[in-house]
Amino acid sequence: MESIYVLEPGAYLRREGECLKIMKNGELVQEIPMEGLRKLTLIGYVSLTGGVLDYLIQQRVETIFMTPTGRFRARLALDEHRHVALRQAQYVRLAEEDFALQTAAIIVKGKLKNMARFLLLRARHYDDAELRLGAVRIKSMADAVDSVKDIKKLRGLEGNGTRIYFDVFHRLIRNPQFEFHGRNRRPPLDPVNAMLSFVYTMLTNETLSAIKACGLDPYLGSLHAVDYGRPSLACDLVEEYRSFLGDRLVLSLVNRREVSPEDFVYRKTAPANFVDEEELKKKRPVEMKPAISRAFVASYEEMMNRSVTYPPSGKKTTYRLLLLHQARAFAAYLSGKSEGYSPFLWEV
Amino acid sequence: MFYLVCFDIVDDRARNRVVKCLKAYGERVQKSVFECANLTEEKFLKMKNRLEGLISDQEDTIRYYPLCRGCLKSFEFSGTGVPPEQGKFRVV
Repeated sequence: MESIYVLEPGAYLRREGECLKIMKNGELVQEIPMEGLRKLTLIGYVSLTGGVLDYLIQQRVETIFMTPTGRFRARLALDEHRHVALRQAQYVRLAEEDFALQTAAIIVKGKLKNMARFLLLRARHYDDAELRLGAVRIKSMADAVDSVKDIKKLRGLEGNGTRIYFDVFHRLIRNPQFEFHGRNRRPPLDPVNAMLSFVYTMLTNETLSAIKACGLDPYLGSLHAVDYGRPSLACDLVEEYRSFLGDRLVLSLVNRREVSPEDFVYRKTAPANFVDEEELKKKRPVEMKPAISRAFVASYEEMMNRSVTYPPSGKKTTYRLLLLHQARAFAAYLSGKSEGYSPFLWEV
Repeated sequence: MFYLVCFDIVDDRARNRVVKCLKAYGERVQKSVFECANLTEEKFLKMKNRLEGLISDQEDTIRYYPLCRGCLKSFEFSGTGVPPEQGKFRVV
């Protein structure tokens, strides 16, 4: 089994040899072979024994802890990658202002182009003038990126592009049961936003794993400023996947009516600032029911294993490996082994 | 490749060890039948090697049947159980 997700609340994991036993209330729920395990994601309140921990550390399994709403909580921090020179190159190069600006510009441009492309494809599909207009506006912003010489302006440009994108996003939803009135988060207030947040967290985690696998430091990026505990580089590199992987997955679930508003639990609440995690937990306005979060994770995983042609090599690969190839390309760019970095531009 | 592994082992201790080893690679679908999905050549040889060290050459046997996608598609069953699992991931 390459990846295992545990969502069962109150479950605990035990190990017998190389077999993972998922227990609940002293009873065996499921046994899963662990040979070849690469990634373990624990969603909600799941505990594990020392034996499991030992195996995860020994086999260097990427282990991620998430909240039931899909927020990132923790990661099992394994020993740092051995490639010191690469990390050093990352620190030195990204400290150069020009280089950092150039890198951020590449990322913003890739993101805007992908958003525009996505809107344009859907506009053609639904024959929707508003979507086309949104696409054109974002496209023109992408073209303006090269003339921006200031990181703050660049961030503003990115924010503006994203705003235009989410202003027309509701037109992509073709299921009258769901509404979308703009993007909100921390906490997300409606089902569509909740699903978007969930899938973005998953993608960011995936990107972070890819970054770590090729030896870079995920906490220093260029577009996202350095902040305590924020994996800036992962936030940077995930931008190019948001619309074509994240949004497309959420939209397909909604538009194909694989989810319905009854699949969510709602709580009445005023969207105020929360004092701490505890309060947030009590007051979160919307949450996926267990059955649907399982289906959600399964379709996410299917998507990541879908195959795609990777342009630089022309070879078939999966979306998951694509993220790794892109992270390697970024590492090559930082260490000066290749001229530039190009975000993956979707042709689908 | 998808492998169907079945065994006949006389000694209880040896059998327990074989079961424990096989649980690392696949699902136990019957008392002495395992289904191992997504085994690479390397993984398969490793598993076979480990198992060979656990059994007695004179009395016991383990048989491995590779199954192609077409074979799996035409899988049928009677009575209880679930069809073979083929995914690379599991959501619990």
